[in-house]
Amino acid sequence: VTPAASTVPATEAGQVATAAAGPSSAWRVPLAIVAVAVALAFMPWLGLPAFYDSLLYLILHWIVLATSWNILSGYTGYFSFGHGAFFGGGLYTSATLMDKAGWPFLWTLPAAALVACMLGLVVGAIVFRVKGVRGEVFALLTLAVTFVLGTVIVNTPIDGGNGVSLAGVAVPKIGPTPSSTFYLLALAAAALTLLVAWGISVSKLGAGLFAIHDDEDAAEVMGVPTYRYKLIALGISCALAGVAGGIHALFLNYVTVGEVFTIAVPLTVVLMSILGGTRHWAGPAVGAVAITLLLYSFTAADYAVAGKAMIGVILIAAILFMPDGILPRLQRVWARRRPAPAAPAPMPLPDTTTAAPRHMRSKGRCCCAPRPWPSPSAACARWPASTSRCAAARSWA
Amino acid sequence: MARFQITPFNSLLLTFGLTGIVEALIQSIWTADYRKLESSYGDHTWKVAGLYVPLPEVITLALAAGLSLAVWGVLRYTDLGKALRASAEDAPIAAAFGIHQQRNALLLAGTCSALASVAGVCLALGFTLAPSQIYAWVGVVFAAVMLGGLGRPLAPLIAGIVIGVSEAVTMAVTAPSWAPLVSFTLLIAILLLRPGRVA
Repeated sequence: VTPAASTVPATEAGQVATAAAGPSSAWRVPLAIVAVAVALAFMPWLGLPAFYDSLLYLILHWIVLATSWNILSGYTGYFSFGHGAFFGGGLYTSATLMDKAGWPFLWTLPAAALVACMLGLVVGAIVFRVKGVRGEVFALLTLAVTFVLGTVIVNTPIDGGNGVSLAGVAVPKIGPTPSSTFYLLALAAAALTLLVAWGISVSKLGAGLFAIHDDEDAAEVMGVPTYRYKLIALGISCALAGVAGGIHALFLNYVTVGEVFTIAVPLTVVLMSILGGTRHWAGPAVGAVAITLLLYSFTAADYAVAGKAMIGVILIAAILFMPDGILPRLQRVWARRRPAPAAPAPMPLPDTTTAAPRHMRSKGRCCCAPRPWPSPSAACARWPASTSRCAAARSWA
Repeated sequence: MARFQITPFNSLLLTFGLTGIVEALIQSIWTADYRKLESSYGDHTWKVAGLYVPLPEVITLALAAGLSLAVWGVLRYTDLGKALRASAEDAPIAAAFGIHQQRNALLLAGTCSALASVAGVCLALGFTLAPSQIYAWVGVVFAAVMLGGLGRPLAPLIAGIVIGVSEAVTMAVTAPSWAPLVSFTLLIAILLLRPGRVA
């Protein structure tokens, strides 16, 4: 299908779908995220033991990390193994500002985001300029950045080799207890991250990023500013990881390089995203909840080492048997159960349904612009599940 | 791995997964403590022209040179080596000429793992061991291979010497904790300057 030929029916399909779903459906996803976040925010006042706050904090913490990783790596296919570096950059910024400069905790979070973002932008500005750095080369490069940064920090007064203790820093009173404060902060960060991830996935930026994933050279030719888009995605991804790092610094209370600048952080994040589905904004969150609960159950049963092996087993199994992840598979099962033409309007997972037509719509809109977008076939190709839907939409229109 | 359709990138992820499993296995069998391989010749050193040369490191050097030469010879002169090089250059065409890709790939994977385990034993002769040490060597290995260039059996020998010497100099001039900086900075530089050679 040539792009020029397919954009027209796609536009119509998009308009039909939007008309059928109504304007409110576009806001259903963010409203749902905010509603769930607000509902969860009342948790600390239920009087549950502090232990639950910490467990929920960890789940939310991994949701932020996995989802922020997904914004660059899942959407564009540039698998970064440097997420530990950006997370650690935020963590050490926050720790240093609290410990040495005496900043209050909450003020260090924007600084952590900024430093992590700048770090990502510097790395990206260099790395993305080199055409050949894709796939495994990008992964190795970002992993090397993690270790270089870790070595620098451990050898300079930032850490000094002994780690930074934050025992003297006051925890702000947001929730009724210190542990609930962390929970609420992580909840806010997770909601923000999910909103950003969703917003990008339905925007023009997201369409460009998905096109880069499908075929970067073709996308470039079709007028997607690939360099700028990758850089923006990396910057956003790093800033969110930096916030997660900033919160985690005080949660840990004692920060060491050995725990942060490792391959464990990116590996866990990659695992969560692959398990959940990297081409969907909510995929990494699903993976994060599943993996954190699984690891926790192993640790609670005193089999922490077995849990570590389990991560490897799940990673291998996910790559071999479920390369698309849980969420796309569920969607496919769901799509099979329902006849395709009815699919665009009401669905229990509104994200794809709103996302897929909106992609096409944004592309349709761009048709009138001087620089047309890559074809909707890019949008169709990026979700195997949505292929049938796109085809259906086309024939329907 | 031959059974499934897998991209090179996914095989990288896959091996990281395997690494995690192996690390956990090692930890559950030998615990996370640091250990050292004791041997009757472990502390034996020769004094050559004012330099102390420990015997384990001489063994390592001899093994490295011998294995590199052997691999080079196999790749260059045997039919198997020619088949492997042909597959690396253009897999579909090589298959059309009757090269059994799957068998060769399995053979190659097995041989590589065996050679890696030889390297592991050599490390055990001279260094303290812990399960978490696995990752410390990954960067050095990648740096050496990338610096030499993929698919050239003798180049990593030279690249390895370059990296080893520069790390040793860094350790002597500054502190041992700065050492990882050298290999990883080299790795970044190589990947940025000559990414085409890797893919």
